[in-house]
Amino acid sequence: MDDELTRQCRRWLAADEAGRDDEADAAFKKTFAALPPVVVPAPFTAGTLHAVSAVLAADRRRARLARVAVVAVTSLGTALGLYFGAGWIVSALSTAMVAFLDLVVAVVVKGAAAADHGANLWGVLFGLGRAAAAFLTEPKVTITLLAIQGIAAAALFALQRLLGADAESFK
Amino acid sequence: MTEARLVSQALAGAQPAFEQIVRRYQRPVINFIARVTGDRAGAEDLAQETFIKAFRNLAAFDTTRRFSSWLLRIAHNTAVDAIRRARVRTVPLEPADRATEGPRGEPMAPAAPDPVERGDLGRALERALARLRPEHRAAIVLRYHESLSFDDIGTVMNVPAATARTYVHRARRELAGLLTAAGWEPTR
Repeated sequence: MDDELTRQCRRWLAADEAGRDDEADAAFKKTFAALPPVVVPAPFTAGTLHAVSAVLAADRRRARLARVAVVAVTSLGTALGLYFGAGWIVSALSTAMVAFLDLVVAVVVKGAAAADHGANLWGVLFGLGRAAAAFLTEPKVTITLLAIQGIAAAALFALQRLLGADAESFK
Repeated sequence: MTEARLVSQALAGAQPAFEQIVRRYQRPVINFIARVTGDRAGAEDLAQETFIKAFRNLAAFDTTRRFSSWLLRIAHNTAVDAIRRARVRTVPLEPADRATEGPRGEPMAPAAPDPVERGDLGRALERALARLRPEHRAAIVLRYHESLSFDDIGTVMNVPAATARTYVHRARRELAGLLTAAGWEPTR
């Protein structure tokens, strides 16, 4: 066995020196068996399983805590937001509603007037664009729209956190 | 039991599946890390770290691929990180053979041995292996101990298969040079 390993080692060295790659590959594979084996200690399996269980349990605890924290912060934020911002929200929503009705009326009136005067398509579109721009540039409307988008994004994020455990849900 | 089935059972939280995965892959993982880092005792800790990372990220494993390659990839990254952090020194695995070490523990070319024992050849090979670059060591171990294809070596080491082939080829040539310098003569 030992003689065979030594013979394979010499064969490998000769083959590598002569550039015979396939022979060197085969002989080296056999020579490699001469390396002292790495022994797996008996308690390794139990120790690893114990460590894995502990880490996975800690991960689950952390994920649960994170979900509870997200729910608590979201609920508290919503409650505070409603309490302190209810007046402003109602005002903003009513302004947005009025502006929207203005827009609808303006669209109908300008469309009818343009049709009455025989305006071309570009003229009609220009009128409608001005009405839409007037609606969107109303400060309260803009802020309300942005706020609605922000709330939707936050709700989506919170939902994502609630449905999945930690990073897994974002993969 | 197939790899995919084991993984799906482990994902479902089945403790026996975890145990079977550890039992099935502990030897290649410890061996690979020990050879790459050159630190046998530290290899057990790093192997444990590897299994923990694997089980934590099991949901991300693509079941159409080989689990062993995925696990060895984690082991490779763990070993490379450990080397980078200089947590382990890349010295030969045989600490008893101090006579062949330099003043700071780095391996030196030993005197020409009488190549009659397997142990001599094994130790000489181990010392030579310890002098290779980590990526060359990893490629050699994956090729000649784990018998992986160049494609799989590339997957484990996150390099193209052609690069894996180059690593193996260069490492083997370098080992041949080191062993020849240590007194192991090629067949004439």
